Amino acid sequence: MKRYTFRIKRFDPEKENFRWDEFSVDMEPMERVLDGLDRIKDYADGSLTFRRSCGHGICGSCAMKINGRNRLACQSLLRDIEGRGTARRAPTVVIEPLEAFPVIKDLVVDMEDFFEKNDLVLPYLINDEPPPERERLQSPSEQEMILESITCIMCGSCTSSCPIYWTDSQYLGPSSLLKAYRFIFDSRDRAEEERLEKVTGVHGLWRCHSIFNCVESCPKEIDITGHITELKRLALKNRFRS
Amino acid sequence: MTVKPNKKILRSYKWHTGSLAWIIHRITGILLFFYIFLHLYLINKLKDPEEYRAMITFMNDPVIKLGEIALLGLVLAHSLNGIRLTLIDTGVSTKLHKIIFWASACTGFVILTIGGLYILRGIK
Amino acid sequence: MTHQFDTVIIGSGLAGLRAALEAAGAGNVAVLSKLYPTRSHSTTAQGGIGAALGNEEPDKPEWHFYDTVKGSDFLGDQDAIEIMCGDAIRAIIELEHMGVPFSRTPEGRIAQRYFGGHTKDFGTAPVRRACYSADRTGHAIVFTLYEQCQLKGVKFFPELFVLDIVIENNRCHGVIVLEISTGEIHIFSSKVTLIASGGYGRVFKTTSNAYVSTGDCLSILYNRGIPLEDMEFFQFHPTGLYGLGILITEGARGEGGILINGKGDRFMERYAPTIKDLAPRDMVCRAILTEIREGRGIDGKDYIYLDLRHVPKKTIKERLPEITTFCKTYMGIDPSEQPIPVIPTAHYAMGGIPTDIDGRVLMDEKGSVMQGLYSAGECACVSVHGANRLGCNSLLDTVVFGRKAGRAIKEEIGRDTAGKNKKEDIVGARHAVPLLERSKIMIDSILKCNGKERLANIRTELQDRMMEHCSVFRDEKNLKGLIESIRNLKERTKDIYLKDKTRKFNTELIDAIELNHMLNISEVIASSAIERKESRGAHYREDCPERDDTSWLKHTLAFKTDKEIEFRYKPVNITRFKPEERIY
Repeated sequence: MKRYTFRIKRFDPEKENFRWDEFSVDMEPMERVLDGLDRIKDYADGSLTFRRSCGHGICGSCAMKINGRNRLACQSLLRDIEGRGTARRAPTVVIEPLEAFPVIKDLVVDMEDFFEKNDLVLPYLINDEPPPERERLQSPSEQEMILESITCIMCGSCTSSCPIYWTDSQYLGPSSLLKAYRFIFDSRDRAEEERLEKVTGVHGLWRCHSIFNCVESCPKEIDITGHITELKRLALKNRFRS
Repeated sequence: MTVKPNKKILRSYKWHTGSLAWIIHRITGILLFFYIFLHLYLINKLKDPEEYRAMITFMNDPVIKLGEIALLGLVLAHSLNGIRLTLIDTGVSTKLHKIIFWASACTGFVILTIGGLYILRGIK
Repeated sequence: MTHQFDTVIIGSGLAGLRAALEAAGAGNVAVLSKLYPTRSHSTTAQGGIGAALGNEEPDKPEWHFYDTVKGSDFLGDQDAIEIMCGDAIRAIIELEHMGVPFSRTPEGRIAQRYFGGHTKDFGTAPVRRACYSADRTGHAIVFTLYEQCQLKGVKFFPELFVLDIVIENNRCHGVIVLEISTGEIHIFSSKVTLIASGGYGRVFKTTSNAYVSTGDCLSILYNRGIPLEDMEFFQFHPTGLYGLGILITEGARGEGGILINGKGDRFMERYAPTIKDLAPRDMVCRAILTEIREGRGIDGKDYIYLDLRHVPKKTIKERLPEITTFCKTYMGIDPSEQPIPVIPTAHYAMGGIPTDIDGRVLMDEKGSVMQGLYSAGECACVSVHGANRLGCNSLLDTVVFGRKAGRAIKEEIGRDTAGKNKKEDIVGARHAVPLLERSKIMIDSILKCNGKERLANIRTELQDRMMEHCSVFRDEKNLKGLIESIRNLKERTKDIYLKDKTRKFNTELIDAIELNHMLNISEVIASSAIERKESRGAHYREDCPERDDTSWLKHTLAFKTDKEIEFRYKPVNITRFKPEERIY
């Protein structure tokens, strides 16, 4: 057991003000930040509010800013948290809500806009050709193309960490662009043109400046910038061709 | 119900290699943009031989020499990062972006040192 | 605020989404969820979805049918199982056409792998039947169905918490929900309501289930007089990460992983000589716990190893990337270098709301139908899983019976649009008003709670007790004690203390309501377990260790009455395979 200080940025929706609260919690270094939040909610302050569901990095509910960077609380172990303690002071875990999204309460942010952006890129397989009787064939190498992009859990860490999104709230954001990639590069999809048109607007693809914050924060370790770059190249190629 | 995004975001979000490169690129870009106007203005003044001689003497001032080194630094930072971005955009793996950053930084530093010594040697 | 929809679906997991997709063909459809739709617990399904595609080796739906019946310890209704296994191939092909990124064979077909209890030729050897997308099959299918629903114009309402289900004169008129972010109460009035709210694994201490799997809708329906079927059957998954309960897919054993005890023995050879580590989950769980009880755990402790060290690294990297990450993140071990410490973890509820094969909710043992109410997925009990579910049959259950329920709903709405509906809508809303008031009073009274008990203490005690006395091994004495303590805990909840008195996003309030539901459900589970004096599938009674087909080849139905729980029974539908001894 080791003592940790949790410093949490709180937002009270009734008084509409922010404040910082500190809690001391005794925990094992192998425990998750989410366990710490649970313990605080259960035994210290029941009003502490945060989202959580699966608890092992699949559902994407508990994305938050932990010690200055976006991560999933359920996937961050205390021993991996950089908040170094000293002999006098316990290691500190600073927790804030995701940046750039409006805060609803404490660590809960409004994800409505995030999901709506995703809807803009036609996020579904489009193929009007009559399907074969059995499965559409797709070679392992064709699947390899989308293998990384399909692991996205839509937690919002990437979009919220993107400096472009901080300044341009209309920017599609890394998550939606990744979604566009997932379908454009699926060998079974036939709507490359339409989708490219959706992502190449003023607030789309070209706003990405390869800052890599999305890659740094992605809990599924997806090379999002790499995927966006791939999209950029495709868009450029198509433009030259036409 | 909701509030505006955090204004102190640049201070509170952790800086990574990529975002550092990005902010350096912005700042050097803006500075170089203004420098171009200064440069054009000074060039424009050189029509008169008197002015020209005065300028040459002025340029030998150690402070100005240091300024030139700074200018070299700006140009190096901006252009090397520009090359880095072009490399990434044209298909060199994005997974190498950190390595390219530090390689560019080292290259830049070496050129800056050599160039700096060369400039300083020019002081009479 | 009152909303009007033809179909209201509670739950945005696979069953809910699949039904929504089908029902979207007739009238408007609303999907309500406690979370955002893509966060439902179906996303955590790892290993695969079963269908006798025969892409990797010859396979027949008939064999799948037999395996499922045998896996269910002959308690599954065979008409339903036959439908599910027969429809499986079509269902998978349909999912593929919708865009599910299944893993592929070198020829580009859907790849398949071994899974527990799935055999060829009626039990002679394991067969590759589980179609998968690496080890994130559930995630891949949820996203695809969610995307397709958006395309069809299904309306999603995220973060709504169901407070009550409006049932009047044997007809369901809709639901009453709490909008979590604002604290406002809404009425969703509907012609048809489908419950696809998932499981309730959170009543156990060690579980692979999400925080939200608390069985709210089951508890509400039970309170409203709908019986709960076969609640004594709760599946434990043999391989949960030690200490955390996080699921390590059966696919790990399907790809060649083996279980070893403290002595380094591959002990499953003794318990299931033919298919060894690929035996059904109930048997593997009992085997693991027997090894541990007899002192053959690792270093005498309470876990054993799942060993993947001999599996090629490439296989692990390509087919089991997610569990590799779990092991690295939470245990600090690399499965290709070190064995994984595992224990059984509460995983899946075989029991639930009784339904017919079209998802209509049944009110009694005679099969009377509750009008306008459907159910599908883990919360429902068709029953295809009987006393024990086979791995990769749950995803199949959701897409097959989700679709069937959706079709039946579509038909019902279609019939209804002839004329009279308008009037009935108003009736529906009127029925809801008194319930709305009751929900308001309930919330107000919880918010006023200023007692001495901590919510978390009661919840933890419930989970501990359930784990101790109602998990893999059970006996009458302990179960009786358990019921005693559950009733005790129920009393204690009257004296709880809530710090958060606000309305907006009050998760403490939701925790309190969920706790009541969990206690309710736990009581039914434990009571049903006492009643069934035999051992069958996942229900193992140490005081009656034999299966007893003469007295107990029947489904349990638990009804709520004013005093004790009332039990009635209905026969198992046996069409093709007569009960036989279950050896693997």
